[in-house]
Amino acid sequence: MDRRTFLKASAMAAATTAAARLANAQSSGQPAALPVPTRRAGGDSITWDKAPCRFCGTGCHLQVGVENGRVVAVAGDPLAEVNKGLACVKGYHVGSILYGRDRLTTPMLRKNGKLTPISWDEAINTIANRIKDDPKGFALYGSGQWTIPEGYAAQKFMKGGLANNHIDPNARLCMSSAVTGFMSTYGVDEPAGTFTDLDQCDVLIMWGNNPAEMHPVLFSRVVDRRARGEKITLIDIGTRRTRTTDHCQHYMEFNPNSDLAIALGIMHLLIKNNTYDKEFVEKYCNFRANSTPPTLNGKSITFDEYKKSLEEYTPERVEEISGVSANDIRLLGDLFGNKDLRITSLWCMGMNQHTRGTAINNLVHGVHLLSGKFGKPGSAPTSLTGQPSACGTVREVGTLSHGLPGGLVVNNEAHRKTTEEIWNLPAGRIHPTPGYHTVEMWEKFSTPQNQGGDINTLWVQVTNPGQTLPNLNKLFYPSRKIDGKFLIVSDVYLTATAKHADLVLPSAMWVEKNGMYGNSERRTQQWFKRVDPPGQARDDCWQTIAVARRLFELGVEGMKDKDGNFIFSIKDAQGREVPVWRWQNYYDVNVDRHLFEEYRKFTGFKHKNLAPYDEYVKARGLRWPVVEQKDGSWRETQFRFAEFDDPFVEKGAGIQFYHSVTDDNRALIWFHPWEPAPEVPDAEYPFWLCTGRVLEHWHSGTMTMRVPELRNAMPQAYIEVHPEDAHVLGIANGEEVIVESRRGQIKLPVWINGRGKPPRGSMFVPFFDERLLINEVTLEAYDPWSKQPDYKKCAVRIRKVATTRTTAPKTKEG
Amino acid sequence: MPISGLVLTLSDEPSLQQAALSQLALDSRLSLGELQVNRLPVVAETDTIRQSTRLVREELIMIPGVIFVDVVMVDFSDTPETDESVVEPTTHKTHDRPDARPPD
Repeated sequence: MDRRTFLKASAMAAATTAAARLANAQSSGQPAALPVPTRRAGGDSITWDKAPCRFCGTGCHLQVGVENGRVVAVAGDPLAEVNKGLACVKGYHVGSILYGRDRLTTPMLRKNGKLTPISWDEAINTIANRIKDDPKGFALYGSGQWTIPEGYAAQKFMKGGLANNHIDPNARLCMSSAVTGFMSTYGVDEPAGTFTDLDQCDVLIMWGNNPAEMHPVLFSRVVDRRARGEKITLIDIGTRRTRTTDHCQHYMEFNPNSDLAIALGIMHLLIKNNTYDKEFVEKYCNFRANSTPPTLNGKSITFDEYKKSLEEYTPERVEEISGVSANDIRLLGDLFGNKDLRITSLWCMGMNQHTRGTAINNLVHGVHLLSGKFGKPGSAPTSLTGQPSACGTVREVGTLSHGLPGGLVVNNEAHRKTTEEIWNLPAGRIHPTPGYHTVEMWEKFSTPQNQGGDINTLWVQVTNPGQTLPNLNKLFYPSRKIDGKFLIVSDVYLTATAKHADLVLPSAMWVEKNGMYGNSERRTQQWFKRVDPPGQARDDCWQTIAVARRLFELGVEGMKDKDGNFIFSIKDAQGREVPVWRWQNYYDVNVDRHLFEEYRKFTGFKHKNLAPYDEYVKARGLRWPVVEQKDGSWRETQFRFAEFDDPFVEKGAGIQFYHSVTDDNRALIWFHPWEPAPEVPDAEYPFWLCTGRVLEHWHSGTMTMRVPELRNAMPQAYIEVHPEDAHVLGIANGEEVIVESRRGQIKLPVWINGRGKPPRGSMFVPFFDERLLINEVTLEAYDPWSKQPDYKKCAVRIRKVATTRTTAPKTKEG
Repeated sequence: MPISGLVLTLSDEPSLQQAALSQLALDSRLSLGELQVNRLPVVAETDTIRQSTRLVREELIMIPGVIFVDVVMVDFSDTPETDESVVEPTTHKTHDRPDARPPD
């Protein structure tokens, strides 16, 4: 059999097994029928191993084929419960992200205005000297794309080493409202349910969510159920029609910012109709409202006070606020009031990138709690994440400016003490005040020192704030003109951020390094390095450890533990210290395993227990809490707080919110009033602007725009305009317009009746295109609790700029 | 020459399903596997990545009776370099940013 015939046979085998599984609706956990690609015989030299996809928070596992030191093939991993052998259009092209021609391969320092190659030694010295000279003026901006060990090392370096809490990740921009929503409802972060609920719910409600494009493999699990003849009602509550809408029986289009009113309307009906789950509420819930002054814990209210607060949110009043018909509000009320239905809610950026993000998260949790749609398979309020390890690295490792590993926080003395003990640090090392959150951090970096701008050196790892921060003209560009502000960027390509940097460090990515991610359903995943990074590109984790070591050598006290040892001292099996700060020795041991095993010690405090590293080597991820069984095996958890599955719920309790804010095992049902958005269209700026993502590109497009298939499929950004608005403005499809807000403007081609269909008075622009930066237009206003900015609504105006017709996006849709 | 392993979801309606199968069988780039209820395993082989993209993303889904195209495996081991840098858009640029200059 020649090589090509062999490859075709392999492709047919993979397709046949996947087809059989899909056709016969085999449930997860029955992988025996599906062969995993293995080292091939017959002279074929491709070797295969698992790795999670590099892109979204779904956490699909892939099989990655490597030949001659290069990734040459990708297949969906049939053993993976998440994706059952499938991958989306981005996932099956993920191998190509490694091979853009313009990969960064050497450190570069800006000299005389030009990025100039330098040695790693000079780069590490430059960073270490700046930190040593001004440790308090240093900040680290990380990512939900950091691997768990990378984030853990950065966290320990900053909070444990430098006693500096100015570390925050880009996940602040995408899911911190989900964090504050979970924390203020259940007392602990992350969803109770998992993706398994999608296989079992009767009704799936997507709140401002477009999983058909953003989490397509996850959404295909739902669509597959319908293809198999199962009855499932899909409801899209959104501000613009999307590909998700096409699959839904009900589309409820709401005015921006009025999702709170919809949730309040459902609650109103549950109480008015007496269809709320009285037993569930009485046994497991307390009620809460905003306090004065406002705090995340709010103030306690009675059920009667709560009921009274809801009185005004009649279906008719909600229709007035939201534009969703009173009948549709009643439909939602009836569904939640039907005891026989299992309902799952999904949300992502729509609810999180919201100046009322915490409030709407609270309210959707509240709808589920009030209706008792919780604690049973198929009934769960479940947030999704956009990044592969927003949960694993940010929420669990705690790389937010207030966090410590395992759900601990810096402003809690006992938590600091525990952390210092695990890290073997002198008592009092960790600073008790939270550091700057993302918007604050960049504002301080873009403000002169003599005007209070006290962040002077900012190191960015694995993210692209020069494209993704809101209001770039305020938060990003000014720092580039201020003397004494030094921007360091570790990345794989010269991104919109890196090209403005003072120092650029070339990084390894995905299977060029060992890694671990944590997906949206609490699933921790592991993979091994498969290929070498190009040129002098090196792991981000190594970069952090190398800088820490140089500071140790320079005598910076914080780089020592209380016994005087280096804080990242790693020993081999014989007990000898391995100099992992030297690149040539970095892979002499598995640094990931060492860091992960140390991190594991934190994970029991909030019942987020993780298994030993080697368990993850064997698995396609495990959902925490993972607990050891009597027979020595490790068991994952599908549904937290429910006795039938959660090992930490006491026998006979039924449901137990064991980290309850009120210390009584109860969750909180909140009342938050509806309020208008901070910036609304007016005579000067008459349109709403919403921004977001597209199927083909992942976030800022750094990786996917370098994959020809994906770039050809969606070559550039555009603005979606309603046909009637276009008619009034005299704009034809493909013509260029200037989109302008009070903060900035850009030129974009118009797409009318394109993939997404905004209503009249509303427009949409994706943010993936580094040449067309919509974040020069967006608003930096943020939620007061989560500090997450609102990218989904601000006021803009548009005007035609060209008389000649130019290019509309040439996609399949035309 | 990229090779893709695909699963096509075909219509449950017998005449549409048969029409789709007939049209797919005529395409020399495709090898068809055994139909599993309404899921058809297919191997697609094209000369270039561009052709592969067009076939998988555009042509197959346009065939009456084809409801959905899932890709389960891609092998690009013997294709030429696939990388292309991000290029400037052909029709327009971002507006000038007076305050965005490289630092000295």
